Amino acid sequence: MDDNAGTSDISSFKVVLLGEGAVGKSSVLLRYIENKFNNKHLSTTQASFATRKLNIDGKDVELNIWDTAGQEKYHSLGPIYYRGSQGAILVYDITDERSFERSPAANPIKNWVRELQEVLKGSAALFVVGNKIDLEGTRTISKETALQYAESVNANYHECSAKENINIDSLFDNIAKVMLEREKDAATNLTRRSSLRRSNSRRTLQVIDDDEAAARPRKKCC
Amino acid sequence: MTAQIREVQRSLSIFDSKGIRKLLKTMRDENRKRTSYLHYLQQSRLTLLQLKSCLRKLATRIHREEDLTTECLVEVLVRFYLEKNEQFIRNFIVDFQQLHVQDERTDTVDKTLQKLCDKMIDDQIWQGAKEKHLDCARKYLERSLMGYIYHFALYPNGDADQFRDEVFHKSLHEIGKTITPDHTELRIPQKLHGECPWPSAQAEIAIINAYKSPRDKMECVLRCCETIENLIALASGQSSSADDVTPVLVYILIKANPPALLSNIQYVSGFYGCRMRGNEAYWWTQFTSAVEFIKQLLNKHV
Repeated sequence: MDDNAGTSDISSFKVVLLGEGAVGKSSVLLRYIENKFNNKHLSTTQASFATRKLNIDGKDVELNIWDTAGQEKYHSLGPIYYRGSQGAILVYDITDERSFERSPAANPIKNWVRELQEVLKGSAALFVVGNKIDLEGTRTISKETALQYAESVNANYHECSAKENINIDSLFDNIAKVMLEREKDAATNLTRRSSLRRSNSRRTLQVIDDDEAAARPRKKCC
Repeated sequence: MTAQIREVQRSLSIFDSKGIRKLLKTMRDENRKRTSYLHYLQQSRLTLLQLKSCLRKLATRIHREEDLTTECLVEVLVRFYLEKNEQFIRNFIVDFQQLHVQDERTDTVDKTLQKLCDKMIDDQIWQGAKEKHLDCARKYLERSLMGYIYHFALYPNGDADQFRDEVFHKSLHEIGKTITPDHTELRIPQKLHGECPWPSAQAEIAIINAYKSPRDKMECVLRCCETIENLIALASGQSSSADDVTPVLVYILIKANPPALLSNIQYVSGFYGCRMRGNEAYWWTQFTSAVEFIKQLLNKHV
């Protein structure tokens, strides 16, 4: 569906916004859309999906940003949303412990991270994002705790405020950068691996020539 | 400004009181004359503006008519073309019915469409056609082709699929009798209740079976979702977010309860899934996840 990234000059990425209800996922997206285009008249009745073209170091990047329903009863639908995405933004509210670490059993951010790693097998760039830093006074989750956690699961960490428009643009610029690098790495890995495969057939690994593999009809998807 | 006022004062001081009275009288007369002329001008301006908007409306109507006529013409041409290739189509229908794996079916349809399109464009009639018209022709070609195999493509497992759809339809009907926007599994926020039960969105999705080609079905789903979005934005006064859209979509699907919903989903995913981009992909995911959620809901109720 969205795996056409890298087929043309422009890289197309899918980014999902995940997080509990009321942490401000939609506000982050809305702020991003309005900010970018506040000088053009744009009716923003839609704040659940957005496509934006960016230019990162001279390379055109298209971001497809997907908002998801945060209420707990929809969590089981998660995999349908993040399937095939190259990036995930996990939003929590820095003033609301429950949105970050409720209890060892019900732990929104950690649950999302675990699920994403299981389903996407580390193919997506993860961003843990603390929202509402305009309410610094009532903060309950320290930056160190969150940062430490993000590093421990190999995710990037970012703090922003959708309300005051702090660090919103940089969040999406950063995630685009990270995804672009991952795409580049994946491409070089792939060529390296396939050249390795061709040069020395190893032990139990069955060698299939690329052309041959492509020529065989795909069977059974369900 | 001050300088101007001072100048006026200086000029006035030259006159005596009789002169001033005469001056005022002349000015009053002048003003009266000019006012009527001003009225006349304003009136004329109004008429002209009305005429302009009328012309603009007419122009858009003519453009719309032009588009419709072109579409009709394209459709007729495509039909002619298909009649010429009847044997080819017949072979395709037979071939298609022998395939059972969805991958192969999708592949055959794609290839046949591509072949027909390429052959059609080579025809002399289409030499000067614009890209817009060619797109339109492709749409009609797909619509006709899918129309031929619609029944087999929609129900790949024949009766089993129809039976499954029926069961689902009945359960939705049952649950639809009792469901309210305040249902514990939905909890649609009070501020959105103004438009409940969103009849225009229900009307969009209710006719999904009227469309035969997967592209048209996708557009139908898209229109339904966009209607929901707009209604939410109207009711709450702010942009719609996924938090709001998902429960409303679930509610609408239960209430509208279009027949053969599951087969439709399978059909569109099978024949259109890999062509979905951006907006379409997002709303299709919203739509399918809403149906998944309804399935879970049904399981809980049984």
